[in-house]
Amino acid sequence: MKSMEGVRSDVSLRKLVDSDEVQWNHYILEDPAGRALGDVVRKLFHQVALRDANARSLEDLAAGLERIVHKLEALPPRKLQRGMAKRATDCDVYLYESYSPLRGILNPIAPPIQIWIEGETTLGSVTFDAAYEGPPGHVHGGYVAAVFDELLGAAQTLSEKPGFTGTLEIRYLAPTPLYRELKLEGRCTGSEGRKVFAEGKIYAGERVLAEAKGIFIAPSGNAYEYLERQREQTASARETSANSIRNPST
Amino acid sequence: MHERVKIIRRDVAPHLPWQSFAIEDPLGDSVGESLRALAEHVVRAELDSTQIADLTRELHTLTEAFEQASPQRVRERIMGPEKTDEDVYRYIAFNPIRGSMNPLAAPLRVWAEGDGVRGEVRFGSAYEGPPGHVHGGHVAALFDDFLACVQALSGTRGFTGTLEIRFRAPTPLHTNLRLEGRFDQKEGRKILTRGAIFANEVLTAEALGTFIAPTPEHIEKLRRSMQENAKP
Repeated sequence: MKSMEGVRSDVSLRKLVDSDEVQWNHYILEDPAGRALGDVVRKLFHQVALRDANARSLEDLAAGLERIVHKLEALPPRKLQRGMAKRATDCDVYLYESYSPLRGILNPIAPPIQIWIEGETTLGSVTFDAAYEGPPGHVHGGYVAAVFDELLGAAQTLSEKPGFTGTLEIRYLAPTPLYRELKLEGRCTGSEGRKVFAEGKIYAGERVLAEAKGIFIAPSGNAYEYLERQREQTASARETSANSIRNPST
Repeated sequence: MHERVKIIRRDVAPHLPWQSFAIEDPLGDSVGESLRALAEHVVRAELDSTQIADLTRELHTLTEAFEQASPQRVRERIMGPEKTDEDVYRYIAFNPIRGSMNPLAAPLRVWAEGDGVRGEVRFGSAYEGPPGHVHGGHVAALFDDFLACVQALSGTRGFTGTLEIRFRAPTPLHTNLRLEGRFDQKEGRKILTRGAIFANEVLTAEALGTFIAPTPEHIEKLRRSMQENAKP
């Protein structure tokens, strides 16, 4: 893990597994400042979902946010990390992951889910707050599904040819509570040609709340390079949509 | 809330809760948009250590002021017969997929059209999974919520029992996505639905959703579970 150039000096990679291979579960990105920023935005989202705000406090919040967003708009865009392409550096891989919408500590919309591998098993942990509420007091079924995509997606990387989600089948057995640490368990169950099979469960204590099966399809050729090229090409679309965040047409 | 939000009840579709209210809440909408813009910029901007520290501090101050000025929401009422139109509106406004005031929501807009349900949504950079494309988890999440709306066409509403998603092509970011859904049939307490997502007329994913209408015992269990667990 050498290449950290172009990255803030207070960010480092800590080695978890003794191996020279670049693998998402071998290292952890240490970024206390980035995590604190992600956490405060998550806290704000939670408070907004939790509070019975009156007009006055919402106006104050709106004014404060306006000031902050205005400052952020003036900043240069972040360099796009090549998280998946072959030419990605180690550092690219970990930074890419730290912005994941489900696992990324730096992404305010991520709960964030923690996922790690122990032997043949993929384990994880996540706690959802009121911003994720679907049925009263419980996690929205959509986020339960999202957890499985991420969990099974991690489990299938233990196969020879990991790929993109092809199909995902979720069975909801009981409502998933908010504010409780959920335990995740997944495993890769085999492969067949370009297909990789994975299964997983979400637990609260000993109780299974939901289970899922997924089939992942290994990309043919250089799909990652293709996606990253497309991504660079959509940079202009991205700027257009930056404006539409502020001024939605509908 | 009372003085701030104007709720117009439309009795045309009382069985479609997402369509039976017209809401005027410019302040709530604008807070939702600003929070979304905040998430989007945090993900996109190049920030140095000083900027991160300053931003974190500013956001702490703002969050604490908001927390102190606002009492906690009474969420339990939504489960009971005493719920008001405002409770229902508020519930929809904070939905993590559709809610205008929930920054986790892109948000998805849903309406009834012909004999089906349509939807529209556009995801920003915060939702990136594969480079330039929506994370598969958020595609799945979208279907859960969308099909939960679609099932209302059956006249009954339940909780998600099973959800099967088939990913056909990567779903692009920064693109208007069109959703189409329809109610297939009812089998006892099961409600069968299906839906699809299109980007520029290309099918990117489709799903089958089975919803299970709850019995009074289910509702009671949910209420108890909420009281036991759901406190921050």
